Amino acid sequence: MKHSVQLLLTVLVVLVTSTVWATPFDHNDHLSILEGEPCLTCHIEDGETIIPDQKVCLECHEGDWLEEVTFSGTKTHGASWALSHRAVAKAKTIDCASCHQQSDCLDCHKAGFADEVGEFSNNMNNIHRSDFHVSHPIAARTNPQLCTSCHESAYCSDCHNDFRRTSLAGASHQRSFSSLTVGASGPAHAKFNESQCQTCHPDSILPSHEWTTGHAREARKNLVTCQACHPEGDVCIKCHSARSGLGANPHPKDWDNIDGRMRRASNGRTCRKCH
Amino acid sequence: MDGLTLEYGDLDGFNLTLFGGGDVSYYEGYNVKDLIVGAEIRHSFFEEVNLGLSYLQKWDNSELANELVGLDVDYDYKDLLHIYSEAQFNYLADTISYFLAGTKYHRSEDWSLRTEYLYSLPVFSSTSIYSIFAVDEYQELFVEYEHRLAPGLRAFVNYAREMYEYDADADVFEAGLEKIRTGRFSGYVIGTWREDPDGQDLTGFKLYGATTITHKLQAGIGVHVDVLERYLDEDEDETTSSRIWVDGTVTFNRKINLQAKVERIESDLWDEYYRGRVRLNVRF
Repeated sequence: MKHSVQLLLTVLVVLVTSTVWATPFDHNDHLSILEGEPCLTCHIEDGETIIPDQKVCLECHEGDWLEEVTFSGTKTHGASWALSHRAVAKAKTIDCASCHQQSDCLDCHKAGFADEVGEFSNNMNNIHRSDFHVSHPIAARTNPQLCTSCHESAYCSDCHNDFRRTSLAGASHQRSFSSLTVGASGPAHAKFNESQCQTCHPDSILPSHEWTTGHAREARKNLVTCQACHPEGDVCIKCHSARSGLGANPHPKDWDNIDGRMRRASNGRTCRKCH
Repeated sequence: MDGLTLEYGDLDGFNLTLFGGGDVSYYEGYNVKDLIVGAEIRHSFFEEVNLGLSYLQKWDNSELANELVGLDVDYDYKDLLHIYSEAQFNYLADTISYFLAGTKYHRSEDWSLRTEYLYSLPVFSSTSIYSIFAVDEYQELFVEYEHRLAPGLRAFVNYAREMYEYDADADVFEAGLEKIRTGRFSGYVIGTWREDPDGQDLTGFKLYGATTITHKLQAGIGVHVDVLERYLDEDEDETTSSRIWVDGTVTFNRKINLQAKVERIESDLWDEYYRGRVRLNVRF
């Protein structure tokens, strides 16, 4: 009864003031006037889209009102909404639960086959396109937080452990070190045989002939892809340890400003791997 | 996160959220030793500006693996221009590890324009050797124009500029048409073209159509095809991959439906394979 009276009063207020509300349509005003009423009052259940049909407006407004008012587009639920809703959903600026159930979220935010992200019939915005075994390196090398927002690195290594390293597309894993010279004017590495590697590169990975100087650029570009196959980073330490190998310093330029926090956080556990 | 979230809203306009639990990534192996704890405080200013500040710690056994601070802002100017942003500060690495700023002009009900800027760095656990390595910044600019052609029918075109610190930038163009199911038919068609001077060009399309045969039965058919340029052993090749499928949904009532799908996946790298799936959905 109380709700009916409230609704009746609301309708009266809307009818009385509707002429004042000439263009444009103001959603916030409707939220104030219909305070306490569910979103489904206008966004009716089984509506064709999130934008209410104009016959819904006529439940409260006269037909003339529709001719005077102009409607803006929705700030949400665009064509690529499945990929762009993160900021709005996290900020809770709209109440997703007023229309959606948690199962709607779980349509995408769950484990499963790549084609199952989104609708069963394959969501238009599913980033796992075609045979994603083939095309996923593109996604993996763009935003470094993209894959890790859903997958652990072990998810990658399950497949990548089965690859021959030389079949990987990355230039870092190709055998191209032989043309490199020793120093600026020294002989090319092709002049040496494998038994001589340890002379200059003690305990390094270089004798395996599968590593090049190009790996530094690729690693900096997206270090997460390295971790996908080398989760513990043991292969890195072969050369980058301060105690063995080439002793190549892998730290960023501002490392002196950071190392204290990292050391305290890990209780020096990470430092001891190399130092 | 699997755990507990407590929300408290009676703080003079402020909303406080406390959360804690185990870290859950989508993988079979669930590491119960990961612990996440954090808090978020949120407030709306001037009715339209929403501000959120959050703090998170992730523990790996007895070590502090990550310590992150987040800030998000959301503002809709006169139902005309939606401005949103989120930032993540990685305290242990003393750096902004994620920043997104976006706008959407949506004054007209017939068209909208969205722009976004993204800055991203990986976040590694302090217990991982990868946390001590130098990394490059990744930045992205994105523009999307969307046009509503009819109720439930919209066209869009977007462009993304992927910017790498020491590598060549890549351009990605996409255009498409989407029909949301407002009557019998639904579907989409999208074309994608990616140009990358460092390799990995991609050309592809997605096509899908579905129709309701009766009010309880819906059937669809779709195909995704991509041609990816790859460099292998100093050679380059173009690898074509595809996914073709048919699907159907039988709706028994509002809470129960049965879905089935058969798909064929093929690429130049591997033999074709087929996958079938039947799923019964019950909503409680």
